[in-house]
Amino acid sequence: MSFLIIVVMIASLAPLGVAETRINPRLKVCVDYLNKNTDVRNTATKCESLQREEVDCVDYLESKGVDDAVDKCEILFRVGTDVIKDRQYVDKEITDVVDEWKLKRVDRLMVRRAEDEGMVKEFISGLSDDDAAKFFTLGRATQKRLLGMNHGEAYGWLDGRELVSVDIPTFQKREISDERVSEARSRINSANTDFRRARNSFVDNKAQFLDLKTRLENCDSDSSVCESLRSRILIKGDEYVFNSVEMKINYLTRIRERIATAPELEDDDVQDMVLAIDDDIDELMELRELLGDVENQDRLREIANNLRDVWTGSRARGYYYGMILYSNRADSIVDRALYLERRIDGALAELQEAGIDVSEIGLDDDVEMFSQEIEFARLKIEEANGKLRSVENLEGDYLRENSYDARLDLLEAKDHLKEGTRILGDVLSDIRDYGIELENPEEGLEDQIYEVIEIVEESEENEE
Amino acid sequence: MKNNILSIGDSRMILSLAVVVIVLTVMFSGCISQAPDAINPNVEDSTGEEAEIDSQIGNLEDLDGELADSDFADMDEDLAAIGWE
Repeated sequence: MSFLIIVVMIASLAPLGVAETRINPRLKVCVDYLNKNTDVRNTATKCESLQREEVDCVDYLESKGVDDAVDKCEILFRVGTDVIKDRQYVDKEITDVVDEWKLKRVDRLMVRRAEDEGMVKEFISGLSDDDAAKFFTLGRATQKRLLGMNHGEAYGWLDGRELVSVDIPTFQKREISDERVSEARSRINSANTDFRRARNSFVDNKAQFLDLKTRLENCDSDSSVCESLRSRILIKGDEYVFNSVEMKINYLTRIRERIATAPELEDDDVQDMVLAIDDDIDELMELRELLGDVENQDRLREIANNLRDVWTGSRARGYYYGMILYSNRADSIVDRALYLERRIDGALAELQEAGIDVSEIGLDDDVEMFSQEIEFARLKIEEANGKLRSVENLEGDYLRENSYDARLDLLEAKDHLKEGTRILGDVLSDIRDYGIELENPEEGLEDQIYEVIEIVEESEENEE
Repeated sequence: MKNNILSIGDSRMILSLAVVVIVLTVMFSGCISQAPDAINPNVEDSTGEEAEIDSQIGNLEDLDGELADSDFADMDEDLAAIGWE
């Protein structure tokens, strides 16, 4: 009997620990903070005292060595006031069909753009139910962009899109085995070493070649000195061209290996690009075979001219393919960042539910800046892709120069991504400080998320 | 007989031990549920993603370095100048 009583007592005690952290998220924030940043043992009881103001928070945190105690106490125990509760800007029953975190994101947008409240209200009121669901699913930057448009134009943009559930992205278009990646890495390393060696020899041999050329111009053409110089300059010229071919082969080999093992590219595209680069490398190798024992100056000049012609095409193609890879890789970073933004917005909603005003503490602004940087990057990548697509049928110097132009956009995109990541570090660190977990915030979906995608009309041929 | 059968006192002791084990288990699991970030796989994961994005940007910079073709800038002229006398 006494045993049963003890078991019942334990069973009734068991959920307490969990309930203490789940029932009151606000308390959880405090408990997590004290656990992480102080050596306080009985954190739950201490947090309750702090919350009831039995103990002065600032004095207490300072006694525990916390530097910014005033700010921290404000964050830990002040209930937010700026969160819109009644959502005056939503005229319809949208709250029944849209996840709370998505609505909260727009709530915060309203806090930031209080002066535009009338316009935003008008915009949302004019949305059909379907378009409203799409609008609330879009990322922050896209929502902002739509609000900046003429309403009709924005509604048209939404009409051309549909809401679908998709698997949580892997950010990869194909799988590459670890073995293949390590093989490629070793080939790239070896190509790097060979490239540097060939470049150093090229510079040396070029200097010696030019020196011999000057001496040959100044010698008496029938003299034995001049004869000796002629045989030496042929050997040096041969080596010099050989080094040039070596550099080119290794340059293309590096690009080839990067493309062959890029998970961000589609299989078919990789196959086409690798085949084209292999053909270019083969042509260069054939020219290299002719070198090493060239019989005379005319033959060497002929090989050098062929090399120039082959290289004009292969250099441009290699560079262009490299830029395609760059652009796809940058695009996959954007996708990764957008998925992270969605989870961060879910975490922000959780913080708001715990009574923390994320606008007031600046967290929302940081996420906004992060989102903006990613949007800038996305637009620059789009611009670069447009340029790359427009030159895909060009060749030689035209292709190369236009690829250089796309590179400038991609470098700008990279800088925005870098800045976004810097801000992201601060955001994640703040969220971690509150002990909030980043999860897929979609309600009712486990391994999927909702996405707004462009509706692609089927061609007449397919319809038939 | 006494050597082969547990006395009532022995049974109570075993039961008490079992109870202590259960109580300790419950207390320990309570501690775990309150532990901060260190054991939170999702938070660890978010750090991982931040690092992954950083590393991907590093890859972009490496790629740009490998694509740089300035070494070939004057090479065409050099090849055109092959020849002497």
